[in-house]
Amino acid sequence: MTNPVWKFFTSLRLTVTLLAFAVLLVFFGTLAQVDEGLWKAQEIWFRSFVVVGQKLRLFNWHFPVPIFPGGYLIGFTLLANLTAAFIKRFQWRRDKIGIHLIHSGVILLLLGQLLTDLLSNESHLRLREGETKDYSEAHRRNELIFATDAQPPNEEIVSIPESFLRAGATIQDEKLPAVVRVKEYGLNCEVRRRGPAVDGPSPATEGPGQQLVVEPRPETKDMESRNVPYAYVELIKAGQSLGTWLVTPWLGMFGVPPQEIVVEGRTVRTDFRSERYYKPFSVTLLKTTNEIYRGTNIPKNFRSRVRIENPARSENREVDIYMNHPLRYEGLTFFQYQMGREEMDRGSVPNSTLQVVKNPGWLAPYAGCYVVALGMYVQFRHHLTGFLQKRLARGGTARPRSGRAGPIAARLLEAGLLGYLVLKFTLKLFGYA
Amino acid sequence: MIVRIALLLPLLAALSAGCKREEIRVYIAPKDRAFAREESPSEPGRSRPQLTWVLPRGWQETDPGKVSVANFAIKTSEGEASVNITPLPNLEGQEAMVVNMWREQVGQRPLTEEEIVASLVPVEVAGEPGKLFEIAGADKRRIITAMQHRGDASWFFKLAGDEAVVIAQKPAFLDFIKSVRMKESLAPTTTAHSHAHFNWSVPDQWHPLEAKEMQIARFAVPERGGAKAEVSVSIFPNDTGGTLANVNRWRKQIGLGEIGEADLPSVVRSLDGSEGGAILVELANASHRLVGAIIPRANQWFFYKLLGDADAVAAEREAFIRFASSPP
Repeated sequence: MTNPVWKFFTSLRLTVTLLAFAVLLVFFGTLAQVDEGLWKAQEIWFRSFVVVGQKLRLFNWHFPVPIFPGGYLIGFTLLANLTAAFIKRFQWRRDKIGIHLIHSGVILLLLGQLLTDLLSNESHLRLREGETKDYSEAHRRNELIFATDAQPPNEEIVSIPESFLRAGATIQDEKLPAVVRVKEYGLNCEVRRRGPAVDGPSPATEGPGQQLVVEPRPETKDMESRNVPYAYVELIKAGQSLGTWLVTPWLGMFGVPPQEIVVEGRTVRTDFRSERYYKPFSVTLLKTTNEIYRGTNIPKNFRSRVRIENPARSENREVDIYMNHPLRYEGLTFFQYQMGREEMDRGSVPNSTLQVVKNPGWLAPYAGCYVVALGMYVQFRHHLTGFLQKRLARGGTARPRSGRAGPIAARLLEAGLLGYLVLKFTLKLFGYA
Repeated sequence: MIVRIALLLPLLAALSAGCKREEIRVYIAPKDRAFAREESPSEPGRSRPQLTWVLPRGWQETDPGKVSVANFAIKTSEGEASVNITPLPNLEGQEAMVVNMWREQVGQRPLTEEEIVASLVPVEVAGEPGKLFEIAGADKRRIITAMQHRGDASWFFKLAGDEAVVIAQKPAFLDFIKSVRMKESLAPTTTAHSHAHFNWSVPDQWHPLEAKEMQIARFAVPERGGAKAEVSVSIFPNDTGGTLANVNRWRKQIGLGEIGEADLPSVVRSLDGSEGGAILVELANASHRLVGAIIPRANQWFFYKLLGDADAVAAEREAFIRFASSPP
């Protein structure tokens, strides 16, 4: 086949070039984390098709990267390249089985990574002792919500992603109780109480935001802290302004309940908060254990005892979550993440944060590695057997005649050893060994 | 064919990755437990203790305002200061944020958490341990605050004012916070008032509801073929901006545009049978109706509002006017 596209995608040179770009991408992406922080560096370098106009720093040497293929472009081209090369060179021969397995395993690895990127989600469940929650919260994503009463004890929530909130933006949607006009938006801020005769009038005309002053802050790139955004939003119904409200996650952090707005006689609650992921079950933090090695700050035992209540399954049980012993439940994995030691030292109510990971494709990388390992084993075994046979033939040594029992015993031993290794790794993977 | 299939796979993958576009979404979720608890009328957590204290010499009790439960003014030859007692939702573990918020208010730089923890002084507040911190402002002003976390609330006792007065009054302030006693009460917390204190005659068909923020009473009126309405009563120490501002605020609530002074007579009339200066406001849009009454009584302004579906409001209008006109 002489199709140039086919020729391009089946080229081994393309594979080598892509792998070289991948190595450079990892290097550049790592350098970018110094100035951009982990999350932003990931977005710019790995979750993009093309990276444009970046500046990097290696020690004190600054150098520009005008254009570079992003992680998606390299990944997808490599996937196309591997798949096409696999098809082109596929031959149903015994000596090629190992190669085919290795190719399939690498393709599975790439697809697994894609699956993880598309479907996985990480959030946090922060609880004080005795507190119950049926949702986890995103660490970096926020939502502006409008809630109205639904069948008790529920409410209907219309959620606007934070990315929609830009100064001057007008958000119209039939699901919203009113048109939302964003008068001001900031990615990060701090708030303080409005000082009488010191601060000018508030842009907010309604709600507790009238008593607060917002001080915009630059975007934080620190892994340990988070941006707390704010917006002044004006609600407009039937062409008439209902007022301007300050919305910011700070209000919730101060314990202020969602702000109530009456729209055409109907009460609507609004809140700008961390994006929530509701669960069909609730988690109550019963007890926290927080031990460190004496004289150090090295954690020895962080443990959260929680109660899981799932009415749909008539389930009510207690379980311990601690380091390296996550809870796997309803397709989610709960890891022990942080513990409020400082608060405990001050005699306050202890709290614990669990990292909640949803990754339906979590098995794909393991399956890919299994297949690659098996392929390598088959391929090397085939070559070793061929090499030994040739060597024996060249030396003129007669094949030892030990009847049929020898080879059968050797193969049984080999199969047993392989089976043992696969079983051991699999059990370890699922936390049983 | 094989070529197409081979290239289609990563293409589809690339498209699916590129199509992760965010959108406005709607979902049903349980109400927040913390806030749902606040709305429950039978929840003891809703109650706020009644406070008693021994008032230091020279302190004058003043109007507590909307947020505080008690305010005191101190005037001496050296200047002025004030004391207030304010309960907020429990801020346990957020002491650093609270202290820094006050520091910034008086123009001081924020402190690190360690510095703040080190600066907190143990004191006795209402018979239990609390923490005290002091902030000297840049403009010869000073704040001394004692805080105590109690149940689902954090109580703040603040002495603020001219530096000389605050320093002189500090011993009296410490005695005062020690003398405070909190007696558990089942009165609603949203306001210092409670409708239990009023002798008004509530129509039999009205069903009392838990008052919301800034309200002293709230009632549900009977449904009329699915049409619902509610009555609410608020009291303010002033007329909150005058008749026009109040009318326009109510107009906004039912989606009507603002009007000018000249249009007021078309929606406002004096309320017969009530004290002088009382007015009745009637507003309506396509489906909803609002009947409001503003009645000045003994340096306070009573705001009554009947709001809801037009049919339900129409049926209760007369009962509402009688209720608003009756002495509280």
